[in-house]
Amino acid sequence: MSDEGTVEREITVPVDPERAWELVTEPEHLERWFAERVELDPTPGAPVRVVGDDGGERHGVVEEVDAPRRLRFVWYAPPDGPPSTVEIEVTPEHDGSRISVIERELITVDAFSDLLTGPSHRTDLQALAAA
Amino acid sequence: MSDAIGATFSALADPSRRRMLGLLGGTGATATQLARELPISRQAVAKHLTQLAAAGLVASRREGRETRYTVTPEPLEQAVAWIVQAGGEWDDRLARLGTYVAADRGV
Repeated sequence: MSDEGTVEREITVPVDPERAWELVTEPEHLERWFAERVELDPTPGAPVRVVGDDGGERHGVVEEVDAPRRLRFVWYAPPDGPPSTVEIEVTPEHDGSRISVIERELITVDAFSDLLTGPSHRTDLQALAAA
Repeated sequence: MSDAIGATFSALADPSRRRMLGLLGGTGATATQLARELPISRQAVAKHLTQLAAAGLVASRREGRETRYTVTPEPLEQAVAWIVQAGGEWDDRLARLGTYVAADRGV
């Protein structure tokens, strides 16, 4: 039993970190492995929208970007799926790049809105969920 | 739903509470019995039991002058289900990424 709601996975790919960064941040590439449809702009505050193979949607917001190393976003499945943060990190390896992922369950929906710094963002998010 | 899973993880974040759940498995126990098994006071046990109950992880039943606590596993199952599902999704995604990179070397 894990202490908290955290999932950690990683893969090493035979490409340089700049290329690996493109693989994890550009929709053109993300749609080849991450999900059927991916809207993501690696800019803090940018909306995230992901449509899975099964048609299930996740909506979220980019929280932190440190190119070409780290991307963090928060997402949830509308209307009331448990929100979680996803942190993707690219680390140079001698023969490629390691791409590691940590997905963490957030404590409450309130914590989710706190992360988005204020009520106006929360409204944006609800609008996003309704769209 | 999200609140419930979050409360489960918070409740499980504390080692004393995890130990208590282990001791409560099966027939359950009273706060006094738990305090005897743990290096913490009966008062601290009672406080942890309140938090576990709030997370829906334990149920209580009056037995004479004492209250007996038992484990209710449903929230645990939901929390584990989240980890299993999210983990499975990332396994699939990273496997596809590996295949994509291999098929697409030097793009």
